[in-house]
Amino acid sequence: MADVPAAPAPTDPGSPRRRLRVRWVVAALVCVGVIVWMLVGGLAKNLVYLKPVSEAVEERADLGTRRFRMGGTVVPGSIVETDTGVRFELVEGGTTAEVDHSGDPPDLFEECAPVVVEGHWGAGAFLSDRLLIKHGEEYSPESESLDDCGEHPEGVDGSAAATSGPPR
Amino acid sequence: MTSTYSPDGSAHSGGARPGAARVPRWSVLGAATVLALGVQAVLALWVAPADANQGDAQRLMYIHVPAAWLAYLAFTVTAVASVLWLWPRTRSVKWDLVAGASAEVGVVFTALTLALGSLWGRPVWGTWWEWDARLTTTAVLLFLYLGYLALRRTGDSPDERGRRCAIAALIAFADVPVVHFSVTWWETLHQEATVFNPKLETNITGTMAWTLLWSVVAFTILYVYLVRSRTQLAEMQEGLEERELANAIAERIETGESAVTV
Amino acid sequence: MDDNGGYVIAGFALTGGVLAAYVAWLGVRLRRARRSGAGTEQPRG
Repeated sequence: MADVPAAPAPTDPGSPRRRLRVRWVVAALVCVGVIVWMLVGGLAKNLVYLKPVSEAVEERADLGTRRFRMGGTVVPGSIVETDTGVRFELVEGGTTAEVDHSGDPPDLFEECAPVVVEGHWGAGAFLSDRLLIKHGEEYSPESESLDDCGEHPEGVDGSAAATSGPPR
Repeated sequence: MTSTYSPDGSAHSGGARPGAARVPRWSVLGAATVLALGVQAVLALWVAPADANQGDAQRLMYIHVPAAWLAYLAFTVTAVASVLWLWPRTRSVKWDLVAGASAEVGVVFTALTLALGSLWGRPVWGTWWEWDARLTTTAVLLFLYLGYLALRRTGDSPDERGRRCAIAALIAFADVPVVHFSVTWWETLHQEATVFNPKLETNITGTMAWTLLWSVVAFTILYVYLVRSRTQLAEMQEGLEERELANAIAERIETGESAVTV
Repeated sequence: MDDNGGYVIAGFALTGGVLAAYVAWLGVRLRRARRSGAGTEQPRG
């Protein structure tokens, strides 16, 4: 295509230009590899990042002791400290589940907090060893009243308002 | 327009402009950027009230959100510039260089977004990193454009590079809406957008909202400054490369050597 | 600043650092390009 001999430099094997070019081709391929790894290893497994409490309870028999994440809102007055961590109830879609968490909960763990617990179903409760806070997208300097969790707009699946409190 | 496209595959610079002689007068823009960012820091760290729920950790929002916005903006500019390059009537080497410059700035801000998100996630969520859809698609975005930047350096004529990179930029851009809507489409740990959510409900008010707005504007000024200087650098490098190539070819023709020293 | 002030300071410091480093790197590349361009610039085309 080019009538000037523009090509010779990059095609000469061993020329610095060509070596540089090969290096960048390899870099581009590494990026593609990382993307594939993230999509297959990371995203594919976590596209369903969590199961709301209602689903987790419904599928309890099928789930067995399989590890998964469950999301819901902490029931006010249900938090009890244990030797290994905390025990509390999680509510979502009108369904409540007992959670036995081992480990220190994060700072923002409190009544009405929308949380994600990771673990599996045990005999009496969901045995969790990882507790994350799933905070909402609303920001305000004034604190909302805690006696009504329905006021929390981010009820993990957005349906917490239906379980308690007036519709917004 | 400093460069024109010529059909023989060798884009050439018009006259001596992109060379060394001209020292840019961007100090006004630079000063505006510094000022805007200075005010931004004061607003974000002192003026804005702490969030009732998250406390001071929420202040990270005032840099995390604008950084993410800049990444979106930068990759959008890259995509538009790539289309302008691909469209024969607007094709100019300039668009290819703008696309590359904007992508580099976008990569910096995507990486910054991820790092700031991690610093925010640790105290608030209780984790540095989760493979949820928002975080993963953002990480994918970073590597898509890192790959794009690597692709830009794989040699060839400006024409070939332009075509290849423009197509790659458009493919990579497909991830931008996926990142933005990931929080709506899938269950994620990451919350939904505070402003550009499906309901277009602004979930932030008062001083907090103004601080966020100022932050976004300040970062946008910063973007203009960065892309402008990066594009200028690209124009200079393009000119240098052309000369280098011309010299190398001339040398080759003169001496008949097979190796070219750069 | 509350208990999490450290994360906030780290975030703002990181942002400032990254921006300063990137601008500095841009400056270095611009100067280098300008230097290698100086003197050899030939009006062409």
